[in-house]
Parts: sequence; C-alpha cells; structure tokens
Amino acid sequence: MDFDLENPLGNFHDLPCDAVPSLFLIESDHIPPPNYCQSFKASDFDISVRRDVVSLISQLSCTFDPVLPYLAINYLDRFLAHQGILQPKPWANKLLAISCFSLAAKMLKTEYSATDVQVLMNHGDGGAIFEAQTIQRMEGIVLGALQWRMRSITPFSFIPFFVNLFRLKDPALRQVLKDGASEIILKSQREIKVLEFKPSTVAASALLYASHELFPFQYPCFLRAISDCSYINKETVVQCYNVIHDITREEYESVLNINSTSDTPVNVLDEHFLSLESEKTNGTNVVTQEQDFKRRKTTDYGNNRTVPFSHFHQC
Amino acid sequence: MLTLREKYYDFDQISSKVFKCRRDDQFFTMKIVSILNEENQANNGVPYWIIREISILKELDHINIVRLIDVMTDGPDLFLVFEYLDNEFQADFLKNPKMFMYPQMKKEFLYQILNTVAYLHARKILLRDLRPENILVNVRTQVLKIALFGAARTFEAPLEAYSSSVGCLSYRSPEVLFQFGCEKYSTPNDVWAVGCIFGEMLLHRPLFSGPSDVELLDEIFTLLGTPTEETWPGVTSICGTCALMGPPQQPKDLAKEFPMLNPDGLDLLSKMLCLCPNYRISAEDAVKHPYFKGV
Repeated sequence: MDFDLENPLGNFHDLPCDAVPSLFLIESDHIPPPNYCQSFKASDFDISVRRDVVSLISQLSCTFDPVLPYLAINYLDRFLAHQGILQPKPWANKLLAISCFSLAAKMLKTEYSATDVQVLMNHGDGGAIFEAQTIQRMEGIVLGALQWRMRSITPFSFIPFFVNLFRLKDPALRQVLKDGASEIILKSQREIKVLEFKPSTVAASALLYASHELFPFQYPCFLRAISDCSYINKETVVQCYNVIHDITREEYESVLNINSTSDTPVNVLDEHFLSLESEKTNGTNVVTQEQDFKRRKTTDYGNNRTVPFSHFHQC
Repeated sequence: MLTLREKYYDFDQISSKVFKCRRDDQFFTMKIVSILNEENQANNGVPYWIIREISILKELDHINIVRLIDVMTDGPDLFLVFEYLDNEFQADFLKNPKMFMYPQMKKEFLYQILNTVAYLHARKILLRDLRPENILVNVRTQVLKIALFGAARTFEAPLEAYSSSVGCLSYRSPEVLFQFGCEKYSTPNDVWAVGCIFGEMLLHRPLFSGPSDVELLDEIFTLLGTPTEETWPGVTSICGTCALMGPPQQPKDLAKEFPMLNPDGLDLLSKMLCLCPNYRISAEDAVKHPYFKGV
C-alpha cells in the first residue's frame, strides 16, 4: 500500500467528482480537536512553549520541503491536544521537536542525518545529546498519542483541487499561485487561531488571499469558484481569510515597525462578496482578462485593503 | 495505559509470530513485528515503511478489509492487533473448490474486491500489491476479506520484502512492468490486478505467469495485442527499450478465450485489462457496471 502524502489529489487530475468528498470528510480526523485553541488561549505560557517547539522544528526543517515542517507541527499540535502541556524543560521541548520532525520525515520518506539534527539542536549551548534509544522511545510516545494515524490531511492536499476550479490555463501562473498560497499556509500555521479551521478552509482562504495579491483582476472569478464549491462553507472561509489577513499584516508591520490601526474599513473579502451579490442582482457578468503577472504597488501602507503581501523566508 | 498482557489474554499461537488472543468475549489476531535489526538501527527508531503502513490501516474501516484494531509497543517489538477471522475464512480463495461450483459467487466476490478498491482509491490509498494470496473468503456467508500488511493468518513472507517493490509480478500492469523499479504507481495498476484476478477466477489458472517482466509483457501482448500509439497514446516514450515491445501481435478474441462469460462480463473484463492506463476503467465505475446488476 502507498499514498502520495504531498499531493494526494494531484495524482488524479481525472478524479471523478464524487470521489472528492472523501478527503473533505476525513480531514477533521487529522487536526487537533476544537477545544485545543481555547485551552491555549487560557495560558500565555502554553503559547510560548508551543512557539518554542515550532521554532525548533522550523530550524530542523529549513532545508527540506515545506510540507515536512507543516506535518511535524501538525503532529505537535495533535500530541499537545492529547497529552496536555509540556514540562517546562528545554530538553523536553527539543526531544519533542526532534521526534515530530523525525516522524514527519519518515512519513515523507525523506532522508536526513541524525547527526546533523543533533548538531542543530545543540548549537550555541551545551545541551545533552539524545541517544537513539531516547528518540525512539519518544517517537513511540507520539505515535501512541496520535494512535498511529500519521497521514495527516493538510491544506496542501486541497490546493490542486481548488486551483483546478480557478481554470488558470498558464502552468507558470498556476505555479505562482500555488507557491504563494503554500507560503501563506506555512506562515499561518505558526499562529494558534488558524488551527480552528479545517485544512480545506485554510487552503481555500490562502488561495484567495494569494490570488487577490497576484491576480487582482481575476480575483472575483476565483472567489465565485470557491463560493460555488459545495464542500466549502463560505462564511467560514471569510473568517479564515480575515485571520490570515491579520497574521500576514502583523508580520509585515512587525518587520517595518508600523503601528497597526484600529480603524478597520470593510474587510476586502466582505467587500468582494458584497460586490458579487450586487452584480448578481444587476444580472451583469464579470469580464475577466488575462493579465501579465505583476505585483500591485502601493504607497498607502495605512490602508488595510492595499497592504501588499511580503515574501519573508524563515530560513 | 494497560500493558499488553493486562489488555489481552488466552494467547494461542497460530504461527511463529501470529497469535490468537482474547479480550472479554472477543477474539483477536495479534502479529508481532520486530523493529530492531541492522537496518533499523541506522534509522533511529520505527522504520518509515512500518509507520506509513500502519497509518493507512488505522484509517480503514471497511467490511472487506481485515481491520487493524490496536497497536502496542513493548521494547523492541510492535504488536499489531487485528480482527479475528475464524476457520471459515479460507486463504487463497481461488483454490477453493466451491468457487468453481457457483458462478454467482464469483460475481459477488469480484464485486466486493472492486468495492474495496474503490473505497481505498477514494481515500487516495493505493494497494500496489493486490493478489489472491492476500484475499480470504467465507463461502458460507459470502464475505470476502482483503488482508493487508501481513494480516492474513497464513502470510509468512518477511515484512521487509512485503513493503518493497519485489514481489509477485503476475498482477502488475503493463505500465508498471515497462518501468520496473519505478515507484510511480497509480490507481489503474490496482484495477489491472483486479482484472487479472477476474480472469483467474474464470480460467482456474493465473492469466499471466511469466517469471520476468519481458516474459509477462509478451504474454499480455499475446492476449491483448501489442500496444500502439493509437491504442495507448504515449506508449513509445514509456516503454523505453523497444525490446520490451516484441514483434507486433494482434489481440485475441476475448469471447473465445472466456467462453463462460456473458457479454457484460466480457465488456467489464476488457475494460479492466485495457492496456492504456488512462483508458482503463476506474474501480468506481467498475462497481456500477451492468455486469453487477442484481448483486
């Protein structure tokens, strides 16, 4: 038996329509339970512990396919949801980070050097080297907590499906859109609040956000395609889009040290939904045109609706 | 957390690493998998192929798949707890004489196999190595079970070999045989395997049995004709070495090769054994084929 974890839908471009529901139906089995976010919000310490382990995993994974750290962090969240808060010990955080990374690498059949992992984890301090047996035991604990269900359905699984709905014909443009959405998905995973949404919702919202940035003139068409998808709850996508928007803006502004404004006009997604409704009332059709790929420029950074998406790489 | 012996009891050995055991009034089959050996030491822990296989099994909940119910670890060993199949389930179902007495039973079992494959494909899971040895049947209740990851009681091959691409070639599709060693399997390969099993049900012998990829391809093309760019667009770039194609052959008349089969059955068989993977019928469409009307 086998499966393509990175792109389970991508291998089946001729996928029959009624086969798609399966991924949508089972995706909730591979994310932390709904109360996971609430339990974190109750404690700043818990949030800082998660961020610490997430940061360690990111260090370990910076030279690998982005799906790997995403999967490892998914294991972390599912493990924390099952086991509760970690002991406040730096070595325990490192051991958990290594174990989640190692398990994700195995699921993806990715080769890695155990020695390099140890060196990375101990860079800058005199921390203990974990014996192979210790890592193995920790892996066993994580596997047991997750009931050995390691094939997590991630937002990446849904990107090809949604991109196909957009009907972009140019392969280069499709790839640009996929890359943009993937980057957004990776960034947003670091924030707890995104975990409230299902992977398919995160994928749809990330693609809409990326398409608004990269293909503004075609954006209304993409929005309609997502809205028409029967497996997606439109209101939830709006909420998730807003969360992604806030996360992306926060990161952008933190880099530029710009103070955020509490004066928030109508959110861009709400605005487009409203305009879509009015267009339907008028009976007019949206005219779409092929546009050369070009990022929009803006000098009005204070206006939420025109904050450009920035590409900052973690590694 | 209950230990192994606290949770299960009344162990009864079935084979070297397979036990029947009990919890309350339910029986289970427990299989021991050792994860410590020369190769595994280098991997620092549970090998990836075991994690991947178990991950898949843990998600499956289908009447025709032997269920993996529990996984426990004890030192260097893994204990896989499967649903128990009593003696009424016979392994290697194609050798069961009752299979040949009741034609309707063949159709029923074929339908169950295809239904299972469709279920797996809907979850983006590929079987890759479906063959009669992994299928058990209860002819009284007419329930079939596919045993995965060595879940079959009589399955004795080493697990390491099971997870590799080495294995029985008779049920491999032409596109896989052309690229032997390549890891790019896909759903049509599983459907081809079901087609071979269907043919084997009818003929009482394997449809193709050559010991090598070259000989197998020759047998396939002898029956179904040598593929051309017309019948299989892109085949020239896939087959690589022209020697694998052999001299051009015309397809045989399937109606004469399978005289016991009605027109609907012939249609389904020909679509499952379509040489071009893109044109081959999907498991999902196959279960809806008119041949299964009334099942």
